[in-house]
Amino acid sequence: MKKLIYIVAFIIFFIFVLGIGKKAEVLREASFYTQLKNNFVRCDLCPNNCVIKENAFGDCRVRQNIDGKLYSVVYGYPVSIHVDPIEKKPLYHFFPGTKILSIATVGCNLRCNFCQNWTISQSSPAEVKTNYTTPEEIIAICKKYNCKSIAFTYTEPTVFYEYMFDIAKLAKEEGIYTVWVTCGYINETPLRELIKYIDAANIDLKGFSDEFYHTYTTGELQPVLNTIKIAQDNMIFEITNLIIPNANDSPQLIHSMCSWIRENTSKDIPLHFSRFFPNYKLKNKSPTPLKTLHKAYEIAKRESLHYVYIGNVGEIAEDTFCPYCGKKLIDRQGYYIKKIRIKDGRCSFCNHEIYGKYND
Amino acid sequence: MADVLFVTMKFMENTTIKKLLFPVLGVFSIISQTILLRELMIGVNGNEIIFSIFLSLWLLIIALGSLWGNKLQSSIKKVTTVFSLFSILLPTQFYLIPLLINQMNVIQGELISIPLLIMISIIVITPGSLLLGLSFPLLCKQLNKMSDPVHKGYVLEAIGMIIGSILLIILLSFFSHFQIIFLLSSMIFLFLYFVNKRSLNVFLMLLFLICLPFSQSFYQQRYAKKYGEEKLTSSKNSQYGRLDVTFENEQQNYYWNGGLLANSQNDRYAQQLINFVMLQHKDPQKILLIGGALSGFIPIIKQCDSVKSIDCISLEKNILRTMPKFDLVNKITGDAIHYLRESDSYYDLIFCDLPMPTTLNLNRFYTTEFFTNVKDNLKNKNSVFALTLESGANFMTSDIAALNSSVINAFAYNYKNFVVIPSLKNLLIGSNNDHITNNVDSLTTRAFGKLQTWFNYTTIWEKCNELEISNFHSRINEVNVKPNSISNPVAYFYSVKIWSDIQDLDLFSFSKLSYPIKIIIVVLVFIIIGLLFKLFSFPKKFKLNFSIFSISFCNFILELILLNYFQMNFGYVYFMIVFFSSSFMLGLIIGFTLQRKYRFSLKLLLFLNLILVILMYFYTPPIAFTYLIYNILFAGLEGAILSNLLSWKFDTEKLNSSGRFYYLDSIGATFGGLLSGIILFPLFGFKHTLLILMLTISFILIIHIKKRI
Repeated sequence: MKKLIYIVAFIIFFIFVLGIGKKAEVLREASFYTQLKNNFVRCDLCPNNCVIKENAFGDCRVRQNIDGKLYSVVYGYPVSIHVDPIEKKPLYHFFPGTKILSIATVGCNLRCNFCQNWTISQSSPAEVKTNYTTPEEIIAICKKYNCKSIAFTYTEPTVFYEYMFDIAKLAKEEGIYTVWVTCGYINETPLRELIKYIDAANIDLKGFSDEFYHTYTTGELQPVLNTIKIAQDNMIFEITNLIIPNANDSPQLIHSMCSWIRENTSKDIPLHFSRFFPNYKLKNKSPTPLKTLHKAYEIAKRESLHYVYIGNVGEIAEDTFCPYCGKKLIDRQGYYIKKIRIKDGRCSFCNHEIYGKYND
Repeated sequence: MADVLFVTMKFMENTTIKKLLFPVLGVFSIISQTILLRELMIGVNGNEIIFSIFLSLWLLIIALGSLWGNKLQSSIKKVTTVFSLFSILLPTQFYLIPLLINQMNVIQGELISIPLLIMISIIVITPGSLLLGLSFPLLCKQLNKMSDPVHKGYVLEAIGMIIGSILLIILLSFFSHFQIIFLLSSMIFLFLYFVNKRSLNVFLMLLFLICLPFSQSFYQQRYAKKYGEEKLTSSKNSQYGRLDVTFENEQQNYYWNGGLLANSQNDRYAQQLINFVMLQHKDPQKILLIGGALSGFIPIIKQCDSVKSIDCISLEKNILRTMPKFDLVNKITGDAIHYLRESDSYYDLIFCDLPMPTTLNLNRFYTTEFFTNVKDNLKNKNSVFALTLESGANFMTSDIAALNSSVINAFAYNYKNFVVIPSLKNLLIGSNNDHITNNVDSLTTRAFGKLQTWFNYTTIWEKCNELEISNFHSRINEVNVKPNSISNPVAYFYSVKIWSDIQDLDLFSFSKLSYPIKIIIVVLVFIIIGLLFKLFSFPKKFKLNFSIFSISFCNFILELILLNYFQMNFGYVYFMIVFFSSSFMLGLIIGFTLQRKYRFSLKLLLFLNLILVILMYFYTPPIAFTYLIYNILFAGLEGAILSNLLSWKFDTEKLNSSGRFYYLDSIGATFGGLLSGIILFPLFGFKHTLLILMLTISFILIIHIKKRI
């Protein structure tokens, strides 16, 4: 009996020592939240406005209530770091042909059943091991690979807001541009703070109906539209619409979307129609037919939008044309830039200003 | 009226007719349930786990039906009513499948959640399975004047199943699933007419026959709704499954067994994969394509001037018939593993693009054994083998990394040099020369003059830059998993785990434990059950029932293991699978018969069974014939053991034994199917599942070593 007690005590001690020896996680207090009664908190970052009890996480899986304070548990833990062509974001009017360092953490505030990056967007931090990487280290990696800009992308960067914010601020100081690739699901106050340090964005307008958002993403349309309206005055941005067959591809819906873009933003805002490929829970849905994309393109052109592109397809409607003289300004082959005929942000032929940023 | 009844009663006394009902039951149940399960699998695009669930549900409901049948008084009228009801219900069950799937607000193309799948399968399977289960004890009671009625019933039903399996192959060549159902129902009514001479049976038979030509189009209208706005232009069945072709806005989509296989307008995928592979060989002339027949690969391959012939192999003849015509292309129908073993052809380049190994059948193509097979068919040391692997878009989860790691480790076993190109799917390229590369500069040089929209310098740099390659390798090195093999299907396990993650299930939390701990837990379970037997005096009947259940449990799993080994070594050839399964039934019959004649002791039979399992654990050669022999021996032993146990049961319960025996047999098989599909095969692989079976059989032997129950 005595021996048994000694053995048990030893095991408990061993576990305790292991626990002490374990490195404490680096946590960063969240920027936008409200403390409520009984140690509850309300996250004010995105329209989900999660009310979170102690030790629980928000819907995004990466913001945790610890002792009545909200923390970002992914601050400093990027799960993906890649060097991409900037056209991949897609950004066609922002330093075309350059390389961009793309980073993401896990988590997302939506649950799109067609998510291409579901392996990270629908994971929680406990499921993925990563190394702690400071904003300074991110800048160093960017410089190492000669990237002109940094993109916060893949998952929803809003959920790692604080990390994104600190990196963006530092990048600004270092003369590196910043790009925000987002679903636009963010509240106004954090948005206005963020865009001071963001140079360009790609906003994903997933579908132009609440029904689509409810059925396919668990979100809502209006917050995204609000984000677009605010963003347009403060940065270069482009809109992407992923066309999913028989989900958001009806001509009426696309027409409504294009009209809204024209009336509420500008004809100059580039619009990308992206081709859907089966992924995540929509594994058995066929990719978008090219003809559907052509039809969407025609509708957008009829709405007098100046820059309309079809993505993930190649050859068709991937080049940039001057909306005034009609000459080809950027010749693309997939993500490969063959030729650029824009000088100081103007058409080389007719000298009209071309939306975007092409020079420092 | 009285005269008719008298004649009928006289006729009903004819035991030959009554005996014939057993094989008819066997034929009917094997054909109808095989087709129903196939249709269900196609409807939900099922994998091995889903099949385990369906099969187990089916067996469970049969078991419950047989218990119910045990309580009923039997009459020939009841039996014929059951058969009639079943024949009428069968087309309804079938029709329910697409109806339920469409009605349950499932988004077209979305994976169906597991709870919904279970609900659909319960609704579809229950009516028929319940009636089937009910039939056996009712029929046995009709033979009450004969000796060993239950034994005879079992044997006759088994004969019917063998006939039914062979008949199904023939019927599938000429009729669709729904038409087979109608044909089957009409034949049952014809047979029932001979049983009870009722003109209603003739009427129903004729009705079903008249509806036969229209049945397929009627079913198709409902079935086509599965694809929403896509127009179903073609739907072809074969022994292996169904190929559906849909058309929408000038794009053709190809669905194999309900899952999206490929589509036209696939340039991006085709260009990126094929070009990376073609650059690895200086002048490939003879190429073998495994999978990818409909993925648009061939036009890209043909752009290489040196190519003189392309062999394109697919198990499914309908896929090859559907693919566009190209010159230089030689279409081969068959299982690729079987082909590579038998073929004298040697290739410069073999390219394999198949779905993720979410089934044991697909897992074969990601094993050390397959890679060795392929290597034997490469022309010379400059030849190249390329394989696609599942990848995360911008990040590999630990499961995806483990899947890749297991296959890479299996690959490395066979190829001196290999490289990985992270792409839309990861490309694993191996050769025995060092010409293969994923270096940006080398690939850029080789790609000169061969650029395409989706394969250009930016693509090469994007996929093969230093950061990308190091990201990939660091993820792989973090996991370090055993090589994937036939007896240790690691890749299959991780594929199923990925699928379960998408389904938001946490099926494999047990897998996080270390391997020795898992084995210890299994052993502890046996020790606890053994202690319970020792501490408590269970009724002798309980021990007998437990033995029947356990033997059925073990042998069902053994049969699945043997079938998989056979498939993996011979190849997935439908006719041979049917032959294999039929030989099991034959072995069962032989075992039953010999046991009735020679009355071997149960201890001897169990001991032999244990020895055979131990032999199989140590001796699993790559020879398909070995597994056929094992199959017959195990089946014979199982037949003999069950016959032995049945005779004890019959001594005490007489005719009531039939229902309970059928129930225990089915329940044992239910658990065997469920546990093997969900836990044993994915977590332990085949070899270590055999260890668990050894423990189980030893356990049963121990409880019988004392005097007979």
